[in-house]
Amino acid sequence: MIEALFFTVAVLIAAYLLAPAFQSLELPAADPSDALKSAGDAALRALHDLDLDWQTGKLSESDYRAARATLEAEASEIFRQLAGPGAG
Amino acid sequence: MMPARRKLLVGAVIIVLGLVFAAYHGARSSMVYYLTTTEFAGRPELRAARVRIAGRVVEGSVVKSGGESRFAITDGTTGYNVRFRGPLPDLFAEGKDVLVEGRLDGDGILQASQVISTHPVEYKEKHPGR
Amino acid sequence: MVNLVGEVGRFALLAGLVVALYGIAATTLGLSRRHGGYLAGGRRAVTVWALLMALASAALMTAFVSRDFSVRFVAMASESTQPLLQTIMAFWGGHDGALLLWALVLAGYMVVAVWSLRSHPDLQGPATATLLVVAAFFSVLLAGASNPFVPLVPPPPDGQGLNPLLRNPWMSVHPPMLYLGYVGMTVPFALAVAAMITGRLDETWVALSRRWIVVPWIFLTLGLLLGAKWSYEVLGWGGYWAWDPVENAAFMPWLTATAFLHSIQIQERRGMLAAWNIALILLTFGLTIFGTFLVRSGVLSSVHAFAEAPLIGYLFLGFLSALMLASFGLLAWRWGALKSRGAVESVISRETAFLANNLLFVAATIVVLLGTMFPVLTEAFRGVKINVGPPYFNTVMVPISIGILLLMGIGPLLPWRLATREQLARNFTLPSAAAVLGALVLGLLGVRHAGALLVFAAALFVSGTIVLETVRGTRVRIRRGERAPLALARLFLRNRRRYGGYVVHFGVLLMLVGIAASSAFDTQSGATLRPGERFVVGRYTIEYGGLRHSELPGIDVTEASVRVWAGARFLGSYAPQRYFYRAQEQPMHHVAIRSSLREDLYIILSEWTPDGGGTIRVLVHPLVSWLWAGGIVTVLGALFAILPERRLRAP
Repeated sequence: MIEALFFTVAVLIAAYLLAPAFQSLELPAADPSDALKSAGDAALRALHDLDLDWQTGKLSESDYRAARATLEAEASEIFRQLAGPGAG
Repeated sequence: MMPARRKLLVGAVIIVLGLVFAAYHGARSSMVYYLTTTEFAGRPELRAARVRIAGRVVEGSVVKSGGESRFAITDGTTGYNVRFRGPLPDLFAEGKDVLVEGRLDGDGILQASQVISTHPVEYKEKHPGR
Repeated sequence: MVNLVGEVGRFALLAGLVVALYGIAATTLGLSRRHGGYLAGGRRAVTVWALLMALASAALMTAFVSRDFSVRFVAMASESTQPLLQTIMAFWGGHDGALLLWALVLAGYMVVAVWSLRSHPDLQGPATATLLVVAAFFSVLLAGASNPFVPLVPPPPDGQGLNPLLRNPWMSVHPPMLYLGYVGMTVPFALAVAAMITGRLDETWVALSRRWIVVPWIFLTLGLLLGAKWSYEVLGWGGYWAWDPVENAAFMPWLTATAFLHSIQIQERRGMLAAWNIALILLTFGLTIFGTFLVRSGVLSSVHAFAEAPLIGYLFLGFLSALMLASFGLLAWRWGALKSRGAVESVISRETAFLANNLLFVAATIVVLLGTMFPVLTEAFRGVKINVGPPYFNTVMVPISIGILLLMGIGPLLPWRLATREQLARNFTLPSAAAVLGALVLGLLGVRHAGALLVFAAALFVSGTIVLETVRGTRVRIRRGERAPLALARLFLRNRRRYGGYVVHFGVLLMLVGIAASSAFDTQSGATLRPGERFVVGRYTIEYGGLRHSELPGIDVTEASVRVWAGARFLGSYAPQRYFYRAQEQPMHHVAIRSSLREDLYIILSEWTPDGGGTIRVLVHPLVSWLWAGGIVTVLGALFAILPERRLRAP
C-alpha cells in the first residue's frame, strides 16, 4: 500500500522535473550590462567613501581632489556606457 | 620589485619567522606523547618523557587521602600506578577510561600533573560533528 | 504507524539522491547545449531536493517525538524518560541526524541562493550545478552509510538516551547556529566556481560574494560563542575554550572568512588580490568539509580508530579532494584574468593594514590546523601520537591577537594608497596617548601582567580611534547644519558598512579584553567543609550550608547550598549541583555562577561525603561577561553593517 503511494509520488516528481526539458525554453539571457551596473555601484560607493575619508581627515586636500577627479572620471565613463551603448 | 612591495615582503617574512618561533617554543613546552599503557611499557626510550597515558581505572584501586589520590590504570594487558594531587575530574570513576598526563618517577609510579576524563568514543560520535 | 515514518524517511532520502543527480545532469547538459528547459529542470531539482530533505527531517522529528524506537537513530539518541525538548534536540545529537540537519540547512540556502540569482542568469546555472554536487554528496551519505532511518528489528523497549553532556538548552541552539554558519559557506563557494566558469570575475561577483559570506559568518560567530558559553556553564572546568579539535574545526573557517571580509575591500577599491580572494573562499569551504571529516572520521582519536570504520572518512576525503582539485584547477585556468589592476604604492597605507590582517588571520589558521593535525601527522610518520596542548596555541595566538587588535585601530585611520606624516600625526596622536596613559594608570593600579597590559593598551588605542572617527564624522554633519543627535544617527545610517564595521571591531576588542583578563587574572580555591563552615576566596567569603539529595526522572541530583559575602555585604545564596544519569552512569555538573560586569564567581560542588561534608571549589574569572557582551556587540554590528542602504545616486 505504502509502496503504491511512493511510486505515485516518484512519478509526479519525475514529471515535474522532466517537463521543462520538453518545452524548448530559451536560455535566460544575461543582462549584458550586468557587470557595468555593478561597476557603477562600486564607483559611486568609492566616491561616497572618499568624501567621508576626506571629511574625517585622512587625506590632504590635494590628494582628495586628485583621487576624486580620477574616480569621477571612471564613474562618468561607466554611466556613459550604461546610458548609450555604442555611443562612441 | 617596487620598494613598497619589497618592504612588505620583508615585513611579512619577519612576522612569519616570529610566529614560527613562537609556535615552535609553544609546541616544545606542551608536547606530550599520547600512548596506551602497553605502548608506553614497550617504549623504554620514552621513560623519562612527559606522557599522556590512556587507560581504564582499575576497580577497587582508588585511594584518596589528604588531597592526594592514588589509583591504578590498565588497558587490559599492562598497568601503572598513578599518584595525583588535586581534584579528580567529574567523569572520573572506577572502571572508566581516563587520560593521565605526567612523568614516570624513579619507582615506576606515574606522577600525574593532570587527570583527564576522556570523552567516550560515543561522545565524539554523538557530538554533532561541527 | 510504527514503520511508516521509517519508510517515508528512507524514501525521501533515496529520492533525494536521485533528484540531486538528475539536477546535476540536467544543469550541466543545459549549460553545454544552451538549453533553457534543461536548466529549468535543474532549478526544479533544487526545489524538489529541498522539499525531500524537509520531508525526511519531518519524518525523523516525528519519530523522535513519538518515541519510535524501531528507528535505530532514535533509539540511540533518546529514551522514554527524556523530556520533550531534549528529545527534539536529539535530532542532531548524533552523527546521522546531524548530517540530515546539514542537508536541511543546505537545502534552505540552496533555494534562496538559486532564487536570488535569477537576476544573474549566467551565474545561476553553474552555481546551481555546484550546489547540487554538494547536495548529491550529502545525499549519498544519508541514503547509504549514514542513514538515520535504519530500522531496528525487533524494536527495543527503550532507547539509550541522549548523552547527558548534551542534555541542556544550549543543545537546542548551538548546533543549528553552527550549521547555519558552516553550511552557508557553500554558497560563496558555488558563486566563486560559477564566476570562474563563466569568466564573470567582475564587480558583480565581488558584491555577491560579500553579501553571501557575511550571513554565514554571523551565524558561525554566534555558533562559536554559544559553544564557548555552553562549555563554560556546563563542563565545570571553568574555561570556555580548550583548543579542542572540534572547536578548532569550526574556528578555522571563521578565521579565513574574516580574512576574506577584509581583503575583498582591497579588491573593491584597488582591483588587487582577485585570485587570493577566490582562494580564500575555496579554502573556507574546504575547511568546513575538512573540519567535519576530522571530527567524524575518528582519525583524531587514533589512526587505528579511523582504519576500523574508514568508509565515511574516505568518502569525505575523496569528496573534499575532488572539489578542491577542481576548484583550484579552475583558479589556475583563470589566472590570467585575475591579474591585479593596481599595486601597493606605499607601506603606510590602508592596503598594507589589510594585507597584514590577512597575513595574521591566515597564519593563525595554519597554526591551528597544524596543531590540530599534529597527532595524526606524528602518528603517521613516527608511529607514536604526540599532542600539543593549549600552550602551543596560546603562545602563537596571543601575539597574533595583539597584532589584529592594533590593526583594527590603525587600518581604518589610514587612507588608501599613501599616508603622509602630517596625517599620521593628526590621526594617531590622541589614540596612542590614550593607550599609553591607560597602560600607565593600569600598571599603577596593580595590573602587572605584561600580555594583559598590552591587550588593554591596544584596546584603548582602538577605542580611541573609533571615538575619533565617530566624533569627526559627526562634527562634519553638524557643521552642515544637522543637530548633534541626528548627525550621529545619520552618520551611522548613511555609512552602515563603515560604522557597522566599527561596532564589530569594538565588540571584538571587548571580547579580547575579556579573554585576556579572565586568562591572566583568574584565581581559584577550594575547601572541604562541614555545614556551617566558611572559607575565603579573594574578596569573597563562602559559607557551606549542607547537602540536599533529590531525584529527577532517571537522574540523581545532589545539591549544595552555599552563601556568599563580599566583605560584609551579603551577595546571595547559590546552589551548585551534581547530576548523575543512572542509565548512562554519567555524572555532570551544574555549576552556580554569579556574573557581574567585573567578574564571575564560579562555584562547583566537587565531592561530598555521606555525613554531609562537601568539597566546594570556587573560581573567580575577571571580565568574563565582557566576552559574551562583546560577542553580542559584534553580531549586532555585523547585522547593522549588512542592512541595505539607500542607493547612491549617479553624479
